[in-house]
Amino acid sequence: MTAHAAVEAPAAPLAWLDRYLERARDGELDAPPSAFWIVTRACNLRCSYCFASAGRRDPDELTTAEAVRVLDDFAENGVVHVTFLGGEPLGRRDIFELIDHATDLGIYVAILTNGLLTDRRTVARLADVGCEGLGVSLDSDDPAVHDAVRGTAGSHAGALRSIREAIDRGMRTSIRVVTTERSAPAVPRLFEWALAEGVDEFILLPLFAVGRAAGTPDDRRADVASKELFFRSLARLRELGATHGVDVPHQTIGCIQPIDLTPPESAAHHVGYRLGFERSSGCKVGRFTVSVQPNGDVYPCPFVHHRIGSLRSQGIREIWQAPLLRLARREQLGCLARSMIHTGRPDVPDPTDAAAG
Amino acid sequence: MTSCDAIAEELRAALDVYRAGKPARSPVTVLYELSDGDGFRSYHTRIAGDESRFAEGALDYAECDVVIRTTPEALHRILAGELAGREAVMSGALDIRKVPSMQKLMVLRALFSRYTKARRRQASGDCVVAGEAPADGAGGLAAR
Repeated sequence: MTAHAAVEAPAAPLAWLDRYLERARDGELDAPPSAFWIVTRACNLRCSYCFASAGRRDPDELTTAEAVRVLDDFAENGVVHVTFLGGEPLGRRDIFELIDHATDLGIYVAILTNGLLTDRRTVARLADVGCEGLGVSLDSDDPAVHDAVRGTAGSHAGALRSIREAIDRGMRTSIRVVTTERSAPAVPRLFEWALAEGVDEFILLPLFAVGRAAGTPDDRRADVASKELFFRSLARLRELGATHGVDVPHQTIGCIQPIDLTPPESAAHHVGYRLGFERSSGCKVGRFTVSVQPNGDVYPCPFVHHRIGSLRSQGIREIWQAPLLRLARREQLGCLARSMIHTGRPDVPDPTDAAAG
Repeated sequence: MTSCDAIAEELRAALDVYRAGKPARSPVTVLYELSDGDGFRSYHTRIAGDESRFAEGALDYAECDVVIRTTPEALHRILAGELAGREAVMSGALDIRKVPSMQKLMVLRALFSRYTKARRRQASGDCVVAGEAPADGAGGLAAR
């Protein structure tokens, strides 16, 4: 396990950051603090539940020059954290150039890769262009199960190789597990594995019936079942985390739950946990994030497939004032992705959330 | 042990690297307060296009956009890429005493990031980034 140096608390502990996050929670920022950017839909895997329906490259992907302009716009408006994902983001020929440009602007960059094509040199290049975080998804500790879900032999080995190389490079690392009937039994073992390897963050996700996971008449029932499975898995991790001194937050909305595996007293402990942000339950749409599509279209989050603007023709500051985001700031709607899945509209309360409405 | 004078040279070099790239849209003044024995030695960087400069000396906080207080050792480790800014802040090694907006803080991040990357590239002799396809063949996905 990676050793993290114990540190003393600062004398004036992060008051400026606390104020910043408070303004974000109140929806007062000019732009989102973070963006999940699907830079390409091209992918060398065919995961059965891919939320982005990844496979082939979209013909209207942003060009390098357009993507650079978007990054410039982000920096000018305070979008401090960009996560590049796909598809397989390393499938974009200019991905290193984009990361280099982003970090030149002071943007914190992380990348989510499937790891199949990632080797020591690739991770070294990511670090050299300033990429600070690397995440991979795992479906099982059993390579056969993982590879079957991904549709490609060797994908499990690639994911493990990537995460280990990133740890060696000192990058912040995460593994992501989408809770499905196939992955759920392995969740505790993957959690233990991540702790033992020195991974910084374990991120549990529910399966949203969007993208390749959508399209069946049973979507709504499957979504409810998936949400329940996610909560059961989270509860199991809470018990397991207690035995390791890892705090696994409670939540009621059924959304992505990051779990920091680093000791709370370590400097590597994520700022969000230190300030209580990641423990806060509730939808982050309109307050903390947006999702950018390969062609520059902007969605409220990766799982709410509803266009609120385009970075090809608008700035992020303008899009951040989209009517749907303003509504989400004003009213407690629950999970907008589930609003879409269950009603076909993102601007109505999530019918699966008793607190919404 | 890293001295304040040595760090001053690094900060001066960092500004030179920064100026070679895309400038910040609006001027930013950063005040560094470096612990030195019982007190602090102050330096400041003014980032404003062709008017950019680095100098020793304190400024009134009201004149500065960003004020940081740290040790020469911690700042050296940040600039060398050995200590992530995030961890430096979380540990208290880097005390951000004034920052009016994330945009201004990002200019400081940019200043440090450009210098750190330039040092790495100089050390490895590899300075080609733009336009390269991944050597591992990932770029082959373009045809899919």
